[in-house]
Amino acid sequence: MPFPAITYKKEGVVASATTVNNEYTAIANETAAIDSENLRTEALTRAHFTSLAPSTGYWVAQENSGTTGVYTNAAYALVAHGTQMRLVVNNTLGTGDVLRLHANTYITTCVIDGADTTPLEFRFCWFWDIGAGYVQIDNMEHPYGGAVKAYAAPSPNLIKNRRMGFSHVYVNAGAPVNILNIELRVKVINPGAAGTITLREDNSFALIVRS
Amino acid sequence: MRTYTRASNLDGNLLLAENQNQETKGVLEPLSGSLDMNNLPLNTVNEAKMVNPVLYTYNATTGSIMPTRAYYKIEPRMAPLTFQTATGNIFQGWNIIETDWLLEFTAVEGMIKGSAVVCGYKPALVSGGAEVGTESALEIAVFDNDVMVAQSGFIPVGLYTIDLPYAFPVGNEFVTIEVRWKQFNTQMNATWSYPDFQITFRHQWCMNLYR
Repeated sequence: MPFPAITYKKEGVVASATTVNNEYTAIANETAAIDSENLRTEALTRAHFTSLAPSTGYWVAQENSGTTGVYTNAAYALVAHGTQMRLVVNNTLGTGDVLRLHANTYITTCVIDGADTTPLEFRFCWFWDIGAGYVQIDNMEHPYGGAVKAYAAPSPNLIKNRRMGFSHVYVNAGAPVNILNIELRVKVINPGAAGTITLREDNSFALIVRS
Repeated sequence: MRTYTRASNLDGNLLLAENQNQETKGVLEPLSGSLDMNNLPLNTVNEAKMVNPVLYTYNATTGSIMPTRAYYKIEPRMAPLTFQTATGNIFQGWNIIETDWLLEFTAVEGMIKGSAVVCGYKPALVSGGAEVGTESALEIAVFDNDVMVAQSGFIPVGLYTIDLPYAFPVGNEFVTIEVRWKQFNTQMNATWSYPDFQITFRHQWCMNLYR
């Protein structure tokens, strides 16, 4: 924190009103940043004393407008109805730093072709772009799907009207990684031609935990 | 931040250097580096808070130990595990998923918060137009040193990823966090046999937040 430009006054020298007022203003301005956060036990850590800036922010994408999106894609695609589930991170994940991810989504309907003989399945996955295009984080996927086959579409027992949640932690044991974007993607593993899922509200959250 | 007025400046009076210097001293000292009890609690800044995160590995558990908290995880596993009645590896009580799928670490007094992300698949079958398997349900629970700390409740047939969160106080002790599952015959059907059960994608993580 820079400290105000205060000069000690000499005995016998009258300080001008301008000088004193400027000093009071400077003190008021600088001390405005001192608040109750100074009392947090983690107020000062190593990160405050290095060139690596402390990470106090997080990134979140929320879709809560009621917009629905129908997905039939066999390959992973961004969840993009309403607000896109893309987090613009632009932050460095240092060695020993932790990337924490949370997401959930509301599935309104799930339709399977009545002629299909195997259940419809859909999966969510986080992808990140760390400078070489989007790749899956840890190859972790989060599957959901139908339990039955040979039911007329839409099957009453496929997952629907449910909110699905999942979380993930990535510990960076290697060199620092510059994370550009993180995307929440979905795909449909569809044995037939008519399988779809419809998503409504969803959100994705990322946090870099730094010591 | 507390400051203490030593002498008020009165209209018409000359500003005394001593008074002015003392007034600003209380504010300037903390800003200049004299962090004392008025600003930060004792022990807020010490050597232990200035260390780099230390990477952790013990059996299947990896993590990052930071000055005020630590994160632990097990790398995601994707290979499906099938539990079959015929092989005798389904018990009426809590079933172990994998003997080495344990979060193991020495906790520091405080709280442990985390989540077990488990994808379980219990198929339902169609026989003569009637679905069977719906009279059963499964459940997932998290155990800390063999004491249950989180329970999912009944999960119907189908393919579900369950993100089961937990939080509990912990002392300075070695901790083993394990996820188990069990099945129920919800219809009390005497002729009912456990359908096969499968666990696919799974991931465990937790944070130990120090006091």
